Amino acid sequence: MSSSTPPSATTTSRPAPETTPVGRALQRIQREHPNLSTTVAAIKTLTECIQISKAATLSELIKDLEAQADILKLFRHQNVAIVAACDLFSRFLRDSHHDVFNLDATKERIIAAGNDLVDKSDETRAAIARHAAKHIIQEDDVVLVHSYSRVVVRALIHARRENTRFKVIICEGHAGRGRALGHATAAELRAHGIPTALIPDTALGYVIDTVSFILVGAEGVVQNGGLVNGLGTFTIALVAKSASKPFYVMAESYKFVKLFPLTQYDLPFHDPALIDVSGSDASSSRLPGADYTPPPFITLIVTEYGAFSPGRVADVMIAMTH
Amino acid sequence: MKWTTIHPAVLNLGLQYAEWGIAGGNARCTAMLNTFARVIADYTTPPHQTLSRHLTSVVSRHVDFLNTTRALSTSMKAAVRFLKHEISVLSPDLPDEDAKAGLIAQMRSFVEAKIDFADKAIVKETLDKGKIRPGDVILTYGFSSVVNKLLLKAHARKIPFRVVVADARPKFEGQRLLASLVAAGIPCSYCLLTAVPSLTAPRPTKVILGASAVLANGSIMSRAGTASVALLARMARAPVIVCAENYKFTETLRLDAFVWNELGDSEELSAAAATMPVTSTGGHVSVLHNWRDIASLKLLNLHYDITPAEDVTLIISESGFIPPSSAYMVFKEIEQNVSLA
Repeated sequence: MSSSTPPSATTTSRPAPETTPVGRALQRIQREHPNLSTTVAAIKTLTECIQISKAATLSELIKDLEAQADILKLFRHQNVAIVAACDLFSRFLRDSHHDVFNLDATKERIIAAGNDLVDKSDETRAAIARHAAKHIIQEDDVVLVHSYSRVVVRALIHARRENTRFKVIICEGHAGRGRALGHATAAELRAHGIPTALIPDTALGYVIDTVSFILVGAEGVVQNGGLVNGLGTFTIALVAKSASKPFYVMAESYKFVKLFPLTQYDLPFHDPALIDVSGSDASSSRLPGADYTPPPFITLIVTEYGAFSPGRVADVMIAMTH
Repeated sequence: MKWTTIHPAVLNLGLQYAEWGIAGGNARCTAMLNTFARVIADYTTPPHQTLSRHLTSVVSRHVDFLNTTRALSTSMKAAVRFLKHEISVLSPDLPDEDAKAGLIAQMRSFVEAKIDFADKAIVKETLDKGKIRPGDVILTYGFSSVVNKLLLKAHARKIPFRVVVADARPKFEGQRLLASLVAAGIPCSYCLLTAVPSLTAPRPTKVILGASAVLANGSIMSRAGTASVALLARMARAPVIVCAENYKFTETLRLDAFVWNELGDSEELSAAAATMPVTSTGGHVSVLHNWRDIASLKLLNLHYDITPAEDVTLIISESGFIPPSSAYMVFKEIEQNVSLA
C-alpha cells in the first residue's frame, strides 16, 4: 500500500472517504477519543478492520486491509498523518508474515501490535512532553506556539507543574475556515495558570523579537526531517529563521512517514492549482490544511527517543524498518 | 610497466578511456568488467601456482595499467574490489575452467545487479513517486546514463515535460544527452553553463543530475560544472535530485575538489580557444595558442567537482529516496548487505 501513488487532487471517480464504512469508523473513533492523534486513530481504525474482516487467507486479509487503507488515504484533512498510519500498519503486516498457515494467530499478532501502539500513545506523548519540559522550556522563556497541538499543550502544562515560570504567545492559526484552533490552546493554558497571549497570525513579525523559541507539534515528519504541520507553520519557520530563533518540533516516532516532498506542492492533495484566482471567496477553503517546512528551518525534533537534528530522521527510519 | 604483459583487449580499452571514447562511471565500469571477462577467459594458471593468488596479481597488473590511461572512477574501484574478493574466496580445489566460468558469471551479474537493475529501480521509484510531473522543466548538466534512462522512460510514460540541457567546454558531453532526448521527441533546450543563471523562460522546476561518487558526508562528486548548477538551483529554490546507484556510495570524505581530482589535458582548453573566430581587424590569435611559451601562464582542466550536501535535496538510489545527510548510513547498510550475501 505504500507504493501506490497519491491520487491526484482532481480525481473524482473515487468515493468520498467519509461515506465509506472505514471512513465513518475513523470519524467515530476520533469523536469518541478526542485525545488520540489522527495517526493513532487511523491505526485503531485499521485494527478494528482486522477484527471484522472475513478474509479466509492471509493474502486476502492483506488485500482487504490495503483496500481499506487506500480509502483512508483519500481523506484530505490530516492526510499525511493518515498516510503515516497506513505505512506503519503495513509494516505490522509485513513483520507478522512468518505464520502463513495460522491466520488467526497472525491476526492476533497484528491486532496486538496495533493495540499496543494505541495503548502506549498517551505514555509516548507524555515522555516527549517531559523531555521538552525538562530540556527546552526554561525559566523566563517566551514560547511561541502555533494553533493547537496536543503534545505541545501537554509539554507546556507539564513545565508549569514543574514550577517553571514562562509565557506563551499563541498564533491563532486561522486557516481560512472554521474557528482558529489557537483559542482552544489559550483556554487550556489559562486554565492551568500559564500567562498567555493570543495573537492574530498577522502579528507574527511584530512579536518575533520577544520570543525565545518556537515549539510546534507535527502532523507528520518526512524522510528528510522536514515537517508537515498545520497551515502557517512554514510561515513561522521562515520568520523564526530570519530572526535566528530556534524552531523545535515535537513528534512521536510513529509520525515519521515515508514521503519525500521536494517542494511545497509535492505532497498528496497539494497543488498550486488549488490557489484559486477565479475571484470567488471560496478559494481559501480549497487550500490544504497543512504546509511543508523543509529541514534547514528546523533546529531539533523531539521524539520519545530523545531530541535530534532533522538529518537523523532518515537514519532512524532506516533503523526502524530493520 | 612491460606492455607485453597486458592483454590486447585491455590495451584497446585503455586507449578508449584515454581518448574518452568510453566515458561516464557506469560505461567505464561495464566496459572494464566485460574486458576483464575476456582476460580471464584467456587465462591459464602457470605451473606450480594457484589460480586465486596468481590471477589476483594479473588483475592488479591490468588495473594498474588502466589507471595510467585515466584515473579509476569510484565505480571501477568498486568493481575491482568485488572481483578481487570473488577471486580470493575461490576454493583452491576448483578446476581452472570452473573457477573462470564462475568468475565470468559473477562479473556479468555484477553489471546486471549494480547497474542495469539498479538503474531500472531508480527510474521506477522516481516516476512511481511522481517526482517528474506534468509541466516540469527539468534542468540537467552534461551526460549521465541514468538520467538519460530516466528522462526517456518519463517520456515513454507520456508525462509532458521539457528538458534544459546545460553544457560546457571542453567536452560538451551534454550534446550526447541532447541527441538521445531529441531523437525520442522530448522538447529540449540547450544552453551553456554560463547561461544557467539567466534561465527564466522556461524556468527550471527541478534539477536532475548524475554522479561519479556519493561521498560519506552526502557531497556529490560529479563532472566539473555540476556544483555550479546545484548552487544556482538552490539560489532559485529549485530542488536538486541526484541519481546514483548504490555502488557509487563511498566512505571517502573529500572536503573540496582539490583534495582529489583528475587533471585533464591542458591542450583541450587551448585547442577550444584556438578555434575562436578571428576578429575583423584580423590577426587576433588567442593568448592560449602559445600558452606553453608563456612562463607565467598555466592552464587548469579539472574533470570533477564537489557539490556540497546542502545544495542537494534528494539522492535516489535503488535503495530508495535518501537525504544527503544519510549517505553514510546508507553506505553502511549496503556494505552489510553485501557481506551477508
